[in-house]
Amino acid sequence: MEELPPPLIIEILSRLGDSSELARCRLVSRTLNSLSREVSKIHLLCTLSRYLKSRAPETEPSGTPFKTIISNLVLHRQALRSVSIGVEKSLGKISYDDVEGESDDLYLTDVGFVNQWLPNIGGGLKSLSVSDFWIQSCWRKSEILSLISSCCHSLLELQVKNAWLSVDGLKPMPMLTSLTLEYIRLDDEDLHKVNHCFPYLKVLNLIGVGGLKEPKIHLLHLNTCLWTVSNAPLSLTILAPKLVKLKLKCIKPQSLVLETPLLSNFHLALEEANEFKVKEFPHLENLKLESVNLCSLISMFPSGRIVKKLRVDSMKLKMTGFNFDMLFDVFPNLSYLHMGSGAWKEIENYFHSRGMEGRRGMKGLKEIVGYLVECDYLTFSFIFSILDNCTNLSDMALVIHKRVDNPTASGLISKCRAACPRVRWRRGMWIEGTEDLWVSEPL
Amino acid sequence: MKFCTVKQYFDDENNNNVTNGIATTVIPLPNKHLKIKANNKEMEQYEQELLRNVMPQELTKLILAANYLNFKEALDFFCRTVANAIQNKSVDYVRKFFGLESDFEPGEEEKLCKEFAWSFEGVDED
Repeated sequence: MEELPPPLIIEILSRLGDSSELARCRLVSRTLNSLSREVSKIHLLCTLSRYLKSRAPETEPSGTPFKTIISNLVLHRQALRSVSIGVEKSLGKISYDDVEGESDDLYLTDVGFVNQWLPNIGGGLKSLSVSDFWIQSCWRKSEILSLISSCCHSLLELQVKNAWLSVDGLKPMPMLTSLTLEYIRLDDEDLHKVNHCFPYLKVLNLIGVGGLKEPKIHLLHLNTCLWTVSNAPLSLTILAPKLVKLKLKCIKPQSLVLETPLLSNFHLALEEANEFKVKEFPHLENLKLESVNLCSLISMFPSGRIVKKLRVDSMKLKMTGFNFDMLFDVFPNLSYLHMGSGAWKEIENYFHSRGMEGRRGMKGLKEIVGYLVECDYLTFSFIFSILDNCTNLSDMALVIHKRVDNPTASGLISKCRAACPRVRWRRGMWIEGTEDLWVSEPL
Repeated sequence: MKFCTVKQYFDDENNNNVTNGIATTVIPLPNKHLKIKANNKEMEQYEQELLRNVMPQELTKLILAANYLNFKEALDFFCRTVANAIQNKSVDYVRKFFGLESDFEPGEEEKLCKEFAWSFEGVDED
């Protein structure tokens, strides 16, 4: 260890998960004590056990308050470039009934608290993340954004979770390129202040942000956007001329307007589309659509000639007339198709009652991934029809639900392999709540 | 480009003794990284396997080698490995791991202990 020069020791210390690890290292030796102060990151989460100890009568008096720990760690550390403080996710599950009235010991977006240390180290800070304790923060409006915009002129990345944020006094932050707001009540109804003060954002993540009325994202440099929104806003608008990747999850917006001409990777989860005004997507290659009514959504979608990779899934099992032929009418140049379990079921049912005509575009399809909920003697005839039409298919993966017994699932794959040996067949297994498993077949 | 420094390393007399064992571990890493780049899980498994055969003291030498050869990914991996090895362990464990001894003045260590008392919950038994 003595052989390691200080910069390399700092590299090791910088990779310790939590700042409490770093704190313990300070007690190892003088060298580690002084080098620990050079580590440019602080990452500290209040764990569930620390929370419980602070409330238990036996341990409460001896514990250091969490806010004090943070202040001590952070003060006078001008070398700090990244600060990440918060409460562990498990604390989000504590119910209101278990919590006493007005305590604010874990109210981290409290301006009074942050003002004790942020002005001191804010100048050099590049990344800041605060994950608040919802029970203590949801009913207190915080002016923390204004404070951050005053102190942190070099900030590139900002993340705030579980808080009620005001935009009063928010000043422009032209250096900020990445903003994440998660489970936030934001007092900026139409996102007017966000657009104005963070004009150079490249990455914007709005996950469960409430308080919006007719939000419009209007950012000229935005490259990647993730937006999950409830049904409260009346309309959703995104004007982003450089946007390349978008994931939008909404319910039934009365109006959805997208002007994103460079979009190439789009994931849209939408229960129902009323007014869907989207201009052409001349660069859209990768598309994922999830809806209750796939038939209606797809028929509203501007020409998908460019789309090469398509993923579809139905949120509810509703027979809407969605079928394989129709897919290729809208997306004639697919090379990859991924069908979620809802979509597969809908398409297969349609096939059994109305058959499959075939489309020229099917000959371009190279790879299919299908999620099956059940497997019976009819399943094979549907797959056979696909093989018959998709004559250039080289890869097919069937991910079968765990409830289907192994011999049945295995039997299906064998039948498929025998019918079409030129295709590379793969079998997988899925069940809600866990990662999919690939099953390797004996040759 | 990475491999120019490798030749220099071999030529450097001081490092001759350390070269063989270290080189066989460090050199294949960039290729393996390229192959498994897309799949994080596979890389984790590969890293775990590598670790099984390496003693903690060797890790220091591996870090120095990776740094000299300017292999950023290898350096990151080895440093993370050391960090993981001392994670959640007592101060004594960390001292033993690195072969260090406490060089504090008598009052100093107590003062630090008090200041950082909050960081001692949840630590593994030695």
